[in-house]
Amino acid sequence: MSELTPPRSTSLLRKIGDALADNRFSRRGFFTRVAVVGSALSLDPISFATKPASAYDAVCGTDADCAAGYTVFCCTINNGGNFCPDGSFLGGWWKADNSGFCCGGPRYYLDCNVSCGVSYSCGCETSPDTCDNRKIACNQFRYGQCNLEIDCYGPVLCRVITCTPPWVFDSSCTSSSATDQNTASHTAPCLPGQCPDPLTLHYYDLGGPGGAYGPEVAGVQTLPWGTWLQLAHGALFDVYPAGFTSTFGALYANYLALGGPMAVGVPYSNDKVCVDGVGQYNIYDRVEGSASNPTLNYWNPNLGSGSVTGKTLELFNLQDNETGPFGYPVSNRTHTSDGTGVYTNFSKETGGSIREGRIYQNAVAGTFGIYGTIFEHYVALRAHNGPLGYPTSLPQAVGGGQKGHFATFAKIVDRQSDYEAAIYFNPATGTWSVLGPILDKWRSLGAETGELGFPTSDQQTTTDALADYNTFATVAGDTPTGYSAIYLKGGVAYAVIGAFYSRWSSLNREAGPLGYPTGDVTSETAGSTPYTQQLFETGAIYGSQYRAAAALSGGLYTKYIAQGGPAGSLGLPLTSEFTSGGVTSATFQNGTLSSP
Amino acid sequence: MARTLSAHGIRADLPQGWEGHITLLAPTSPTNAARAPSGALMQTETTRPFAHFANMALPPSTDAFGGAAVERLGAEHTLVCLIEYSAECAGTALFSRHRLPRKLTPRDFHRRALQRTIPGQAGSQTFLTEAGRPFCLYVVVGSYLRLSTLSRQITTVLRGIQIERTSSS
Repeated sequence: MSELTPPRSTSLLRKIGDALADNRFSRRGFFTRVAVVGSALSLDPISFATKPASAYDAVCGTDADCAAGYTVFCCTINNGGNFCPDGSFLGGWWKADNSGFCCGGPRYYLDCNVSCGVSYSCGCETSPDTCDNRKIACNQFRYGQCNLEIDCYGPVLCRVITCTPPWVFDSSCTSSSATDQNTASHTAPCLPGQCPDPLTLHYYDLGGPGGAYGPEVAGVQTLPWGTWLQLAHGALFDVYPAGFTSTFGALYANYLALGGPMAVGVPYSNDKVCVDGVGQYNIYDRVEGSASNPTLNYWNPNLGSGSVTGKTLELFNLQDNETGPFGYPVSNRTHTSDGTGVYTNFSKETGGSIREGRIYQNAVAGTFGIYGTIFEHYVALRAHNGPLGYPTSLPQAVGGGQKGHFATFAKIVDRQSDYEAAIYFNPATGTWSVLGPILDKWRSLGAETGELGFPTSDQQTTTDALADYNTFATVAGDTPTGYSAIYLKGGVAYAVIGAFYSRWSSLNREAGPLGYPTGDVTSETAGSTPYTQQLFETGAIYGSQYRAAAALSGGLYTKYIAQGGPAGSLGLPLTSEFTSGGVTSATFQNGTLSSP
Repeated sequence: MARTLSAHGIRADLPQGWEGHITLLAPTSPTNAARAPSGALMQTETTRPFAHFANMALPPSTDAFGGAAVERLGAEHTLVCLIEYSAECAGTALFSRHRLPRKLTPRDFHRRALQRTIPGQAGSQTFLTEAGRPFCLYVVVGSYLRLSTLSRQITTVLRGIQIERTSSS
């Protein structure tokens, strides 16, 4: 991930043309000149008060007239922008040593040469708004240390001023030095005055008020970690030990939304480009002693802005940050209404679609996140406000070498875990949730690797509202096969599985003659013959070598039990009960039983 | 009486009435207000020699392109500046010309080909690489009306310049 060069310029060429076309000698001139004198006093009070120079000399320095032959400053013709206008490029630079404008250090002058094929008429800046009336696009000259691959060039359009060496902030420039002390006192109202604070100098080096950062919103402010300058489109910082740093654009907007420096600290680098070359990020921190609580701020033009901090950031780091399964944060952290924690939303671009996710940082459930189909299902069930509660795991692979994944959850009540829940995804069965006692029951039966297989429904309530249930299905290849269910009634859960579930379903389940299950399947023997049985409210289902699932109910079942059931004289049922002529009958190993 | 100057691998046989100097400035440190942005290495500047030749008394100057001298040019005067650049510039598109011009004619000059346009003056600027060393030749005449005379003098000076290959070139 590479650090972004602080943005330096925007396109203002058309505005220059418009400005040059203006009537320069309007009635505004008088007031402008008054303002110039005020500027002179504020920018260079000692020189203006003690030297026999005009206000214009103090503000614009020497050789400010057109006839002096020097080139105008870019900020004068570029809406305040201290950078090369469109249609020009950095052609070279020189310096004046021991400059008061740069606090005694070298001051750098960078020529912006007109690009080949771009037409500019030689003229002079004549606006009454400025005393910088030097030449525009007249001097066909080049200093020649920058953009050496460009050998076709026009005249010098204007001059950029910095206190930072050109080769430091523009890789096209070499450090091959040239000096011209004759220009040491040249300046303009749109440039900073004598030795302002370092951050202001840096701001002007990056283009000043007309540059990409725009005008100042507030002056330089002191922070526990240095200083910062809040600007219209970004912020600049001077922090120890990093030096000058910045955050810009959408990242800056979210930085302010996060509360700015006193809330999340300051950046210790410029904004950086993410590995994918699309997104950008920066890290803000409040380093006090050895304490560190970084906030990672992201922006992706396709997804939006968001940030991560605290334990969420720890998990995000473990999940490979924005390159991992969660992708980019697209929200700042949001507090949950129950006051037990916070969550952050994420989005990831995958194959032309966007996959959403969320990480929760919860005091009881811990810090976990989910994404993709599990997250979609979780949101459909009202997320943390729904029956599932908070995630207690990341998405993980299902067992038994089967396809799919799952995540677990915990419902928090009164700041304690009330019950567990899970969402399972399998391509054959879909994405469904299981929770509470039904989940416990399913797990006790082997969960997805047991004979019930994967859930095929969320928890449902029966028509008579007396019980809740989930349905399940085993999977063969990519096809669901045997179906089952777990019913929860009166706080007790029983599973109805496979052939028994099919038989029970054919009898209209709990609304049919058998009613609700009152026990799980048990294995028994009748004499030496093994069989299984499951009891229901008004009957039972038997499975044996004679019949996989034979159902008996009501009066017939009562008679059968009265005669000893499977261990009695009738033996095991060979059929389920059937009704003919108003009489219900069933055939057994040793006879037939009818009712009434 | 003709005069020969030689320093830093630049030798010039100057005609009578001409003087010159060959200067190599010590690098200055980009200190005080200037600081490197986060992560940037604050490398110091690279200085290379520059030569000034003129048919007048040259003022002492650190200005590579003769900023102080051009103000003093009379109509009959001319200033020849030969400025060397750091080695990385050699052979680039801008410095692709392969020899120092040995002759300049009036057509090589223009009244706007000046670092600072002073009425009456004209200039000529050429970037080149010779002996593996990148240079800029910058010539200013005090009066473009006298170019035919002055360009002959300039040509004489240019023919007397020799650039040696140095260990750094």
